[in-house]
Amino acid sequence: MSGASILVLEDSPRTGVENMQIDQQLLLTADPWEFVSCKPSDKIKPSILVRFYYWSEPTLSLGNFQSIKELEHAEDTFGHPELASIPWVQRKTGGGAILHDQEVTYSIVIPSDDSGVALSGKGHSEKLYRAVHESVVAGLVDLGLDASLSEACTCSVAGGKEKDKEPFLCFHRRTPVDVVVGNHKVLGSAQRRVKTGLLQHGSFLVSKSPYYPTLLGVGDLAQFPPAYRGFQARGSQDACRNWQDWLEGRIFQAIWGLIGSTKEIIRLNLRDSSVRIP
Amino acid sequence: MTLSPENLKYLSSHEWVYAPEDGSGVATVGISAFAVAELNDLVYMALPKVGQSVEAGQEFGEVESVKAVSPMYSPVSGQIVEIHEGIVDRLESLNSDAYAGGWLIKIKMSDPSQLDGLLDYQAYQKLLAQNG
Repeated sequence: MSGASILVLEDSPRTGVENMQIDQQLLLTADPWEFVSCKPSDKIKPSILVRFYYWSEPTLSLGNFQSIKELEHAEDTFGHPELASIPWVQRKTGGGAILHDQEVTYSIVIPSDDSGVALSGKGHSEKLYRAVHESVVAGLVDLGLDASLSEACTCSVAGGKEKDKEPFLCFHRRTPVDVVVGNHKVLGSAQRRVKTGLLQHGSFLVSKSPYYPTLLGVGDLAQFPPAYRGFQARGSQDACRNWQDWLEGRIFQAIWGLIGSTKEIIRLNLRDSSVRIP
Repeated sequence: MTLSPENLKYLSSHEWVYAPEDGSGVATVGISAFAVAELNDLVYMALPKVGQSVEAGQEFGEVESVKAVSPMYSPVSGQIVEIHEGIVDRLESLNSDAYAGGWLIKIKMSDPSQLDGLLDYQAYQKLLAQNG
């Protein structure tokens, strides 16, 4: 995959609906894409796209098959009416609901014609889940955290009644490749595979949210040395931004592990009027 | 002609179609055993309603497994005349039979000639071998 390039799409805060629409558009146009921009060149044809979300307000995103009605009855959200007070949006990927507050959300889109990530099959790409999550685990361990893959499962039994008993919130569920620090899940990802490509997005918990304070993030789970104090700033945008930069590096490491080195990393800002999604 | 893998036509996205020459113009559609194995631990499936129209190559439903959602694509155009009642509540049965007992929908075809553009069993096996 020599000559491959990564496009990082930067942005500013959007509503949940807008964020989901952008991901869906990026996935359906991954044929592959041809972005038009005045800078750095007129036409950009990235091999892989990485995007970070910016949320205009705390938002709940529901898995593709979840209903907002489950919020009132599920064991882990029953008695948390504050969750019902924030906007929600339906994702096109699977898994449980995510509270997007004090966290970093990323997405990776890979066109189907890319041969580097074995996208020819049906359903999930274990390879991509594992690459990103193992890279994050390695990075957290370097920071001194007790991080690992979950290796546990609260998975549903196919088509059976057990699927209704799964926790409503993604961070209460476990799949073997989820990233945990101690017993706390801090990164979960989900995918959507269509004919044009594969979308993986995930949520990395930075610190606890007032809307559900028992879910802890990495900033709550460790004391960082002075050089990393910016990672500890709970409840601030700065901490999320610092962790986003860190997570971007881990995602690049994962991509390089899958396809080898890339030719270039290009950055475009979706708010730049010269940038048009195909 | 019976509904067995050798007698089916396929899409490269791993849906199969069975269209007996019985004059009914009704095609039976499902997903291949390879797809079921790849999907691994099916959790949810959404199917269309009877009476809905579908287009060849377009989505007719969705399936979730391992937190990944994948659309299922229709091999032919037409109108849904039957769905496999109860199959979404026993998806595990697809693991043992993705074909005769694991069909998903039946379509009254609007253009049976679309079948000619699909992969036959040998071509589908070759595709699977290529994808390794």
